[in-house]
Amino acid sequence: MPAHVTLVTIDQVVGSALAASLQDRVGLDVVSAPPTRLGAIATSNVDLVVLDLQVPESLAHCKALADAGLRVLFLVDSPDDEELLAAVEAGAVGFAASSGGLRELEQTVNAALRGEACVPRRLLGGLLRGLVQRRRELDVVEQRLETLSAREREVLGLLGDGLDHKQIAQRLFISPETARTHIQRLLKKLAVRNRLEAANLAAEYGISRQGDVA
Amino acid sequence: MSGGSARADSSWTPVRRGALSDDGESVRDPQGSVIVLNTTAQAVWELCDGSTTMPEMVHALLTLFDAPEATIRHDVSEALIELSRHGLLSQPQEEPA
Repeated sequence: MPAHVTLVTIDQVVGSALAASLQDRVGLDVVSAPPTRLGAIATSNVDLVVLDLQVPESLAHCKALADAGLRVLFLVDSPDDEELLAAVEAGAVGFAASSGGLRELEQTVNAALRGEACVPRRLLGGLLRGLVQRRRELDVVEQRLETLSAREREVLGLLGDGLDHKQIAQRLFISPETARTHIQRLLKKLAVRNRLEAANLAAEYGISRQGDVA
Repeated sequence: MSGGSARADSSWTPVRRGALSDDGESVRDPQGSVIVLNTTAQAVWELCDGSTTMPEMVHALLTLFDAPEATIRHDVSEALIELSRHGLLSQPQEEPA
């Protein structure tokens, strides 16, 4: 039973040519599909999606596909380190250089199907350094979160739920001024500029009022 | 061992030294021998920049490779030991001024 691979590229002619060539070389079931089919692909029994990074909203599509349990390999031209990092964080299993030729693409597709990470050697250093840097940034945020008092953490959770200071005051049975003070203190401790940034941070770190409110 | 030992402490931030081949898959040690790097060693080599610790290396590789943490930690440790054994790593302060 051959593995099913779907190629999604902006240029359908390129996609069809690549699919035909790959199918011929590796004995896989390879088809080409337009980006408009990505939603349907997520619910199909495809083993690997080779997705052109240039496809609009390709990172969001990658995340949806990865969440659906599909492996996604990005076809890249000359991506910067930020794009690579975002792709990995979106769940991509690797990258194939569009300039690498058919043989390299064939090897990368096979490696991805075997469950191996596929990062072209020339992209490896930048991606790894980006991952280290991102981890350091997260560590800093986590350290700042640990400095919050229980009440400030509670207020942060409510900000994350979209409440303003008056609603927070009502919810916690405190005065609006006290709620405002808690907000100002937590903004300072988290080194964020405003409530929106704090709310985004709360959402990102899964801080909710659930379980915090007595 | 030459060129610094592969210390196990989490604050060690090794620096790579040696000439990487054009394809990035091998490196020439101080004695002129060519050392072929496996996938993990290639990644570790890239991260031996004098500021990245071993736990940070493990975490970065964990994000990239679909393997258990214990396996990644073991492979990173092995790579550091091998690179050290060939004199390809040094401490940041051991770098010539």
